[in-house]
Amino acid sequence: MRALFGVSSSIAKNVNNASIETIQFAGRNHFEVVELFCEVPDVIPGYINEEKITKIKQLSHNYNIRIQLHAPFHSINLASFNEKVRKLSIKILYDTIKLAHSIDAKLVTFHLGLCFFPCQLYRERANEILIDSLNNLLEIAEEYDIILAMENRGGKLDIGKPEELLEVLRAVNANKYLRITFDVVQANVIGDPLEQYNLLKDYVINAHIRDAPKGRDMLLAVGEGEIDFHSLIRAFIQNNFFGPYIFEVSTKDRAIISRGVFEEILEEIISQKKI
Amino acid sequence: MKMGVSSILCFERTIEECFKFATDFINIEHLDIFCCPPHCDLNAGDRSWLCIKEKLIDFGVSSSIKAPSFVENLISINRDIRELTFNEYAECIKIASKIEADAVIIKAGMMFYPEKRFSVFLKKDFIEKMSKLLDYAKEHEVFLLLENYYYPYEILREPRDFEEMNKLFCYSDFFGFALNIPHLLESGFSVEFLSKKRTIADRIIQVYVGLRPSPWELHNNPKSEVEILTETKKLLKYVSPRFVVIATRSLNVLKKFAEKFGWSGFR
Repeated sequence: MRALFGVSSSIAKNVNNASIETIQFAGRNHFEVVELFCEVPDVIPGYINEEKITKIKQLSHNYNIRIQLHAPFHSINLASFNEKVRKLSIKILYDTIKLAHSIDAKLVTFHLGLCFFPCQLYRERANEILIDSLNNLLEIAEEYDIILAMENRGGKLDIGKPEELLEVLRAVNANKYLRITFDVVQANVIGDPLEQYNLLKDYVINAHIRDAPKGRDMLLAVGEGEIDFHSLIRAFIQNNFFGPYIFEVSTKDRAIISRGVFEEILEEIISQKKI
Repeated sequence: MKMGVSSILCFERTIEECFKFATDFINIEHLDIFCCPPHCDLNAGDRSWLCIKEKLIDFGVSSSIKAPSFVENLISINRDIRELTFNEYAECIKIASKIEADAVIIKAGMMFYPEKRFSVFLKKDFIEKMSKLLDYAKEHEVFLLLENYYYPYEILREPRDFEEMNKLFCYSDFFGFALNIPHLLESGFSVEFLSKKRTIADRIIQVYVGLRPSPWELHNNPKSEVEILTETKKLLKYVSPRFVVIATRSLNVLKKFAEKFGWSGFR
C-alpha cells in the first residue's frame, strides 16, 4: 500500500488566505491531502463565503487533492456544564460538518473539550454530558456522511487522553462515524507516543505528524525533536495504517523536510520487511 | 473593607444552602457568588435570584457575582464565542442589579495563536465590547471588575497588563480590578508593583485570597498558604479594597486564613 501524505494549513503565511495558499503549496509539492484549520478568518464554519468554498473545491479538484477539516477548538467544550456553552460548541461543530460536506471533505478532526473544575468534581456527569453532545453530532455526521475524528490531547485540562477516547468509543458503541486522529506530539506531551498509539490503533484513521522535545507541544519538523519516529512508523505499518499522515508543522520548509525524513524511515522499514 | 467568602466553599450545595452552611461557621460580611453550574446557573430564572436576594438581606450580607469564566473569551477569534461571552457578562450585570450586588467579576480574555495573528481587529472589538459593558454597569450602578489569570495566553496576567487595561477603561467610575493573589504569584509576579502604581492600586475593588495555583481549580498546593498570607498582608499596606474574598473549598483553609487576618467570628 502507498502512504498518503498531507499538510495542515498551519504552514500558511497569509492567514487571510490560508486555505488557498496551502492547497497551492500542497499541489505544487505533490502532497495528496490538505487539512484546513477552521479557526482562521478565511475558513470559519458558518461564516465562510460561497466564493471561497467554490475556489477551494475547484483548486483541490485541479490538483487532485483530498480536503479534510480541523474544527475550531479554542473555547469548544462538548462536556460543559454550562448549557449555552455546550450548545454553542455543538453548533460550531455542526457548521464544520456542513462546511466539510459543501467542499467534498469526508473527515473532520475535532477536540472533545476541557475538564474544568465542575467536570473534575463530577466526572461521571461530565461524561454523560459529553456523550449526549456526541450522539447529537454523530446523527448529523451520519446524515452528511462525514467521519468525525476525535484528537488525542495531552494538555492538563484537555479531555482526550487515550483511556478517555476509548471510554467514549465504548459509550457510543464504536459508531462507525467516530474515529481517532492520532496527534504524535500531543501523545508526546504526556508520555510515550508508541504506547498510546498501540492503545488506540484500531480506531486511528488520520495522524498529525510533527516533532517536539519530550513533554513539549511544538510544531517542529520530523527529526527536530525527540520523538522516536522509527518505532512509531513501524507500528503504523504493522497496523496497516498508511495515512493520511498530515504534517502539522509551522512552515512549508518543515512540511517538506518532514515528508523527506518520514519517507526515508518508511523505505528503510519496508526494505527490512522484505529481507 | 469587608471580609467575604466565595461560594465555591460550598460548590456541592446551592447558593441558598450556602448561606446556611457558611453562616454556621462564620459571620460572613460578603458573599462572592461563584456563577458556575450546577452550583449556580445564570439562567436559573428570576424567582431563584429573588430568593438569593432575600437571603442576602436576611443575613445582612453584601455580594458580588463572579461571572462564568472557563471558556469565556471576550477577545476570541470566533465571533460566536465573543457574543456568548458578552451576553453572559451583560446578564451578570443585570442579575447583580436585581440582587443589589456591588460588583461583577469577569475574565478579560485569552489570546491564542489565531487571536495574536488578528490582534489589531480583535483588540478594537474588545475595547468596544468592554465599553458597552461599562455603560451597562454604570446604568445598573454595579462595578465591573477584571480579574487576572495566570496562563501565558491570558490578556490580564502581569503588571503591564493592569496598566494597559487601566489606561483603556479608567474613564469609567465603574471600572476596576479583582486582584487574584494566587494567580499573580503563579504568573511569577508579586503585589509589590502596586506600591508604585497608585492609579492601579486605587482601582482594586476586590481581592481574592486562596491557594496556588488557583482557587478555581480542584487541586491546590497547601504549602502556598504562608506565601499567600505574606503577600496579602503586604498588599493591604498599599491597597484598600472594598472586599477581601477568601476563595477555597476547604473549611480548614478558610479558618486558617480568617484567623491570620484577625477575622473574628469563627464559631
